[in-house]
Amino acid sequence: MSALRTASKRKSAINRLSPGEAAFGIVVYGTLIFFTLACLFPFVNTLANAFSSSNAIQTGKVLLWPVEFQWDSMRMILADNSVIRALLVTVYLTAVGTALNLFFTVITAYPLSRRDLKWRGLFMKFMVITMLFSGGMIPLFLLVKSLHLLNTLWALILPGLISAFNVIIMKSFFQALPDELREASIVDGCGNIRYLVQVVLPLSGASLATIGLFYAVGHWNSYFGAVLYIDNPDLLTLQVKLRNILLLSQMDTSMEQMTMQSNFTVIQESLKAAVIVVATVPILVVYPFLQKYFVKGSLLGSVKG
Amino acid sequence: MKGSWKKGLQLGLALILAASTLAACSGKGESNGGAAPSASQGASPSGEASQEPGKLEKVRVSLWDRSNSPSGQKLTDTVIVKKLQEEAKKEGLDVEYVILPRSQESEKNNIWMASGEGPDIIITYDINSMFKWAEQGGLWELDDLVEQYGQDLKAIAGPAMEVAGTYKGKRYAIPAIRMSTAAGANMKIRQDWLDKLGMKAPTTLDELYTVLKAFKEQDPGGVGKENVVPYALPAIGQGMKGFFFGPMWGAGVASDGPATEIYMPSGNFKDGVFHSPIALEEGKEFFRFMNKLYQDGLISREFVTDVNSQQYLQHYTSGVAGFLESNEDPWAMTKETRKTVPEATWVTVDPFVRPNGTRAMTESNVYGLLNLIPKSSKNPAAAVKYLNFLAKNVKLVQGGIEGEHYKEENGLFIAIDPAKNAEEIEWYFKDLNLVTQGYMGNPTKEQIKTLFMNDPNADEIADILDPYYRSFENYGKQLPLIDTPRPVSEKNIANITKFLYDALSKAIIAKDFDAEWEKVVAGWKKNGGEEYDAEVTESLVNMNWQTTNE
Amino acid sequence: MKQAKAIRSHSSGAALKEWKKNYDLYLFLLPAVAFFVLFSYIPMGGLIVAFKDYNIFQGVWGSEWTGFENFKEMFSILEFAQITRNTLVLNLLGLLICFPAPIVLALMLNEVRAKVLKRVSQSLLYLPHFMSWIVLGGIVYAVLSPKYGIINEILRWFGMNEIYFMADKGWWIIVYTLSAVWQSAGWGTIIYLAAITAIDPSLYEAASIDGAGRIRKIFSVTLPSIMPTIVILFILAVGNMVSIGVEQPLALANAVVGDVSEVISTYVYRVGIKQGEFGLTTAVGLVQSVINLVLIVTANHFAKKAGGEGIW
Repeated sequence: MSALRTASKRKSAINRLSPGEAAFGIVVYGTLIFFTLACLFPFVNTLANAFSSSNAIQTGKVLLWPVEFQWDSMRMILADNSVIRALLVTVYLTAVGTALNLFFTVITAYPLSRRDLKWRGLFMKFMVITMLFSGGMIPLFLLVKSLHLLNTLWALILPGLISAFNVIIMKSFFQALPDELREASIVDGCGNIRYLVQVVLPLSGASLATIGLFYAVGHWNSYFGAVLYIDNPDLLTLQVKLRNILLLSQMDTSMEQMTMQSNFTVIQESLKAAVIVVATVPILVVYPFLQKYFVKGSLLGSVKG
Repeated sequence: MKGSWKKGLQLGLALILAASTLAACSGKGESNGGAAPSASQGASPSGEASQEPGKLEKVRVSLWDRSNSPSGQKLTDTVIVKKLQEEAKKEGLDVEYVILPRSQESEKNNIWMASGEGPDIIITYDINSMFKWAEQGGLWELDDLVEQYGQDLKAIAGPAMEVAGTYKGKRYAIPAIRMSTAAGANMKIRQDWLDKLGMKAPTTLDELYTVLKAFKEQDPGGVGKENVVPYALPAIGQGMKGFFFGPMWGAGVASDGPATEIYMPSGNFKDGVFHSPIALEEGKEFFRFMNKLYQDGLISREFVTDVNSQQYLQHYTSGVAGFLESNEDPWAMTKETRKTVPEATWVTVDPFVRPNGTRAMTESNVYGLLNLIPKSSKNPAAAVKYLNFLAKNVKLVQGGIEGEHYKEENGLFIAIDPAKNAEEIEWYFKDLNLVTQGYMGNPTKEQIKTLFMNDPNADEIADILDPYYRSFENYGKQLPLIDTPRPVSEKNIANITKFLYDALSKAIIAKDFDAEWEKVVAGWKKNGGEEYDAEVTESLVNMNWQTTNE
Repeated sequence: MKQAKAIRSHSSGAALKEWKKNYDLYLFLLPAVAFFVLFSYIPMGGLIVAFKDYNIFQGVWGSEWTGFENFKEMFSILEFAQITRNTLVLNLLGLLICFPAPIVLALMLNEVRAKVLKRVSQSLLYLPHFMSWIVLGGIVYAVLSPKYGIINEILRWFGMNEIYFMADKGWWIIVYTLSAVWQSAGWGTIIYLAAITAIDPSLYEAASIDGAGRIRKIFSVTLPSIMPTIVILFILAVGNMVSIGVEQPLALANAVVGDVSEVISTYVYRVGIKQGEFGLTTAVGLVQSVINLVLIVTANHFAKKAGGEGIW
């Protein structure tokens, strides 16, 4: 019933568009479209480069679409078994890692979102200090080594298991839920855990999706940790593998091996672009799938219900 | 720019890894040192050599892995590797190859050095690492071992060994010899433009100016006067792709100083004193020359902001540039530019005649890869024996198996079946060669023709490349390699370098050159430039260095 | 919910009561405590390197103790004052412009009724976040080139003079800030959009009944509702004022703008990593951390005073 009322209100709202609102609309749409195009450009340009000849790239001919189309660069990367393997390793790492991240972040953020928790201030300070002070990579490496985690994917998951920043964000989202919900549930005799699982989580689609996305992107991009902790070529992450390919193509092997022509420089420029494409496209398609969680009005009716 | 980030990252990682593995190793009993390379097939990590008489001596040797194996072959399971192992057994050596990913040279080496679990032969291109490890007592001294077991090695790599591999006078590394030193910065000019103008290639800096001006004013390439970039130059900085070695040599600056990151000749040693280019009158005059070029529009107006060499590459590949200096050979450049301008032809410009009437240019070092034996190796003698064995069988790793992969003709190794070679040996076998880089000296014109016989215009290619090789042969000068510690340099070189990148750029674009140059010199001094020069002077005097300015 | 400020009895009875009441919540926190102690506090011991002359073969414990030498060295760096100033300038501008940008964008996105445009925009805006500064820097230089860049072409078309943006110190700072917006604003909207979805639609209805137009609603409903999120992120941003990433300044730097482009991170990268002076770089990092801590405590204090909720 209220839906009908809202709909009719909307209709009349459109008819009653004041000049101020019209101008506002133009500004908003205009800015968004312009900025979106500006953000789209580097990626489209890189995509075009990945399929263009290096000569076309170097002579500045490539802008929005491929010039002198070739797909050797992409093929070189995708046909490489070790790249596929690295891709699978990274997907696995991302899935498992993110799941664990979310679980631990939620159970940490929830208590902290409860204003009636007496010692939460202490814990917050405890956590914020870790965001500011770091002993650096050396001690961390020593620690990971002494825990016998080297050359395992756990070395990539455990040190970053809980991000203080993400906990703070999630806590702030949890806090945004109306207090009446909690009060109502206490009346119902609902304990903390039940409340978390049955009330808070279902209403936190957007925050879970957001924090999950942050963690997932972090895992997807993991490079430094992989180089430090992993020797086993079968466990390389995608970013490491791709950068190896790129580095090797940049090394002037002709100087070392005294061949008359260096093999890689021909497709080097487009290879650089192809590497970027392969490294980013998979993770880019994740967000659109998550958008369904960013639905407004998820709280509608929950209090009354 | 990318190269330097990579290098920085790698160095950082390397140092961290070295520190950590050493510091954590309170007891060697740890089951998994985390440093054992796991790519080799189940090889045992211990480097113990069996000393029993009649038994083979075990040697573990590093082998580059370039991630380029066709059809997923295992590097340690290939034709030449197996052949080498077979032949080595006959000499009493049991050889195992340990994989070293090419892009992780410094990280892996640092871990191996720090943990003591590396192979018996460590390979690196980084001479400073060798110095560092020698200083810290991490390497075996090799003088006696080479005398005893390395006669064939000396016969082949002698010239390189004379120049490199020692630290404080003692030998810690056996360098591979570069058979051809024709590599490095070389000047090139558009022959087709010269022809159009009826001019000859410049032989002095002044003539260069005249030619560049003609390029700009007469636009022989027909690309539009505003578009002509007579001298293509990117931003001066780490990773810049264009240089000005050649013109600076032409101004009278020589390479008497040790290698630095800045792409210019390193300085002059005169009357027993060394001066960096900044402190030389010739250096000042050279930059005055560059300033003039800039003011007259003969260098790109925007070179200072071309930090990733994008514009520089665009200028030369799209054919609007007339002169430049880079590492590439003129044929490689010609091929690339012809994609846009079919009649473009880049040719070598011989070094300019400098004020004292002679000519000179830089060339690559006569040494290349360095072979080191870490103290953790229990049998350094076996390692030297292996290198000697390689020296005796060097053709195996230069051409392959004679009769199967190549035949020798006119001093060249001609592939019998290129496809078979590509599959079986090409992608790795030269990396097994730790003793020589390349197999022949500079090719003659005839040999060039043979090397390019599958190309339709082999004759033209030979015409273009012959002067390229000859110029290195006739005029190339080596840099001094100082093998004693230089603390002042270590402390200041990064700051001096960064300062000069900025200051020299500003000097080139300055409206008042002399005023700007004062700032350059003052800043250089403030950053420790004079102390740097004094330190180099001392080393050069001790080495009895002969100046390259004659 | 300030009712919890009950009379604090100093006996352990109060603590026990708290535990009894919420023990399950505290148990929830246990894994996090263990995690941070293990992976953050223990490695923090590495900060001791700031007081040592770090030698890679002697390691963290074996290196020689040098007290405050590294700190003295830090302050005596030739360009110390300049690189600190540059860092602060860039960060303050960042706070002024890069911080609000995603908020404005998120609000705009929220106003878009066309579902398709909204979804498409959302998915495209964060693309630059995934590109490295090497690529983005190359594009910035190319677009702003006096001779070949499109911006100057437009200027010429309007009969104006060329501007050599990247060679001018003032313009360089502006370009740095705007390109930072370009790279990060889209990604930053994600958090705010998530916060916006949590807003109770009945609030908007109530506002409509009161006669508020779209613009009014933004200021009376949307903004106040996401204010807690904004405040938190602001405090965290302030707590980063003395630190700065190294990728962007490095990618955009060139020879003639060194006076404004050289920042703490680029200096540390050059000297620390390339010259291997870990003692110095750790000392710099330590000083930065301490200053950031002071800043974040101050910001938090003022946020709470202003009536909001701080981080603690």
